[in-house]
Amino acid sequence: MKTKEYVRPMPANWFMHNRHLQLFMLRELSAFFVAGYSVFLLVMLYKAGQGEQAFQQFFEGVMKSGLSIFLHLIALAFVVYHALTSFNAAPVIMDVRIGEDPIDPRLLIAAHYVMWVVVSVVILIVAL
Amino acid sequence: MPEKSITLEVFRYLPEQSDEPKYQKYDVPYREDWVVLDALNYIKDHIDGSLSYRWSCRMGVCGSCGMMVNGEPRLTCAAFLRDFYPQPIRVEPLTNFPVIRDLIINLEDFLHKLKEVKAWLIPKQEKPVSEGEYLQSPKELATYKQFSMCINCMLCYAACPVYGLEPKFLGPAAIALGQRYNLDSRDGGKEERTDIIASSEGIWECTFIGECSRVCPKHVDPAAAIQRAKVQSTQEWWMSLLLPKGAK
Repeated sequence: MKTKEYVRPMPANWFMHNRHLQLFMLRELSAFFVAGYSVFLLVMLYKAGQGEQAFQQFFEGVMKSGLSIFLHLIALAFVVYHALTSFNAAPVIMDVRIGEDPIDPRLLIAAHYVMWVVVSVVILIVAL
Repeated sequence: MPEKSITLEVFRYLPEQSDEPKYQKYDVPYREDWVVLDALNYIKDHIDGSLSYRWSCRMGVCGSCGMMVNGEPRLTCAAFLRDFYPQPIRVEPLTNFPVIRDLIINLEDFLHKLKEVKAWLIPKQEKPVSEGEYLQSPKELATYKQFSMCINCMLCYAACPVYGLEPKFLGPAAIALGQRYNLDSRDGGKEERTDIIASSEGIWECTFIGECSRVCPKHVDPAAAIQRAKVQSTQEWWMSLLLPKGAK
């Protein structure tokens, strides 16, 4: 005979259950800032395509405003968090081995940081 | 000197008595070397014989004593009272599963998923016993060994919010075990498993929360199995798109 089973509903605030889930949700939220800033970069590119004057106008009118600087700082914090958590997740996603032994996960994470610095320096050199 | 004791708040669900569960408190003797399962056994033997729960090996191998201990999925045979003493310990059945009685969950869904994913060896080529073993090098063994350590305890399902929200999700252990055989050099069943593993209810449902790997008592790291399967599946999709038909 089959008895009645008790089903426990998932609470709406399940992501508050522990610190790991809270950090996960923060990472999910950071994706909106990554996507949002990508769109913003496209707008900047569009303005640059309209000529120097249009870009300067955009730069002076929008970019230098207090609200813009405030939003930039928030976006920066979220994008950095997104990048760091992605780097730290690399050893889980990539199975890199030397012979039978997987390489030290710290080495794989460090390689991402090194690449980050290298790419940033190259972009800075090109920009300046 | 009076004997030290510790309180267990145990989830009770007796369908023949009530549609709603309740929590029942039991005071059990506190011993340094006791685990939560020892305390449950004490309750069963000395206080309340009606308490129902699953257990078997008492040494972290059988995977049957998984329960929520203070809200965390744990093997109760590996959760020491000393880590909680003198605070009370709340013991509940694994979340995300229907409860049959007290601490016993219905695990039909998981067993069905194990079957769906064909978590067994499908030899590339069947050969008679007289031809001997299917040989494998230590290097080939190393590629899947971690995922083969799964004891089907289902703690990862209890920890996974995706499974809680979307019960159709194949889930961490079933995918890790599917990958265990996909990565086995002796196995030839990858194509048979791909339909289910690479489906929207398989790896693509996973949002990489990572709770499955955090709670796994055997360090199987199902999150790794799933993310690597995603990479592999994406690579194969691109290859099938870019390479001419028939090419590998």
